[in-house]
Amino acid sequence: MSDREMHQSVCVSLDDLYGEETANWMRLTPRERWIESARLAAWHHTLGGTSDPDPDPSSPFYDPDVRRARPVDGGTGVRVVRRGGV
Amino acid sequence: MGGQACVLYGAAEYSRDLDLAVLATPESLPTLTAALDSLQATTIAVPPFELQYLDRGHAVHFSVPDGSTSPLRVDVMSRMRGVAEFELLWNRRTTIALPDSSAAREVLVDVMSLEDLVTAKKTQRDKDWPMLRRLVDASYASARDREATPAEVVFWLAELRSPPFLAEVIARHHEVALGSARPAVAVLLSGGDATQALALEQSAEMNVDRVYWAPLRRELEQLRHDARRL
Repeated sequence: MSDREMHQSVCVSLDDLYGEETANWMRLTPRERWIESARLAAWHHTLGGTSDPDPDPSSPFYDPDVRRARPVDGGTGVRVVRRGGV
Repeated sequence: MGGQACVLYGAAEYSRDLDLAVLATPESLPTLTAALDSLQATTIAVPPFELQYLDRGHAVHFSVPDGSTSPLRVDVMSRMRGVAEFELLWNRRTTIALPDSSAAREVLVDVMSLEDLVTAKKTQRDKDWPMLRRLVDASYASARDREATPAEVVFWLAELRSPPFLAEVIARHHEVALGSARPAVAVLLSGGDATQALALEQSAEMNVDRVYWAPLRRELEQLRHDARRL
């Protein structure tokens, strides 16, 4: 086995590190990502999402007293979507 | 810079806001103000849109109506910790041709270089670090099947945060790696696990960023306090 073949046999791929979906996204061209990202943004707004940043207490810009838009479903924004067996 | 740049470099799928690095001087500020006025941008939160705040490293936040129910958030900064002055950022920017919203024509978009973006992302915010890792991994993965430039090798050795990729660069460019002062590289060169060294590196950077922002945060808190008293 040549050095190159040996290298390729142990090579870790983007798919190994991130999974196929994310790896495929990373392999797109900037132009392709831009177009797809615009579609995601439109979808986000269609579903009632806002452009307000998520509250991030680790950010120096975080203001705990700022009033934020409520989720369109009126919920608290934190909910259990799946419970483990314990 | 920011999330939109991360989209273009492959590290993010979507960003809700637009972050702009700007040249803020007494001469350039009127032009910037006119551009923001033409977008009907209004400042939100603190600090106010004044040169002194941009000069000290604050971000000024704007809301821009874009015809949808939710206005676009635009954040403007002129100085970032550890990041080069604007003139240098501008000289080494990446320019990308992208379709405009109607896809009828192309617009040229100037984006912070990958190296500068990675430096700018070394913040105290937890969410920046997975992004940073993806930025450098995407860069390496896109170039691993061709001959790397010496500058790329130095960049990857300094910035890769995925141990398998970092180990691969070390194996491919052993002589260059021997000259690296990065603890994670030294650990991998000795056959060890770099996970802890990378975690320590991240923790140290986050602490430096917290120290840098401490006086700015106090200033923001005072501005918020003053604004609420009005």
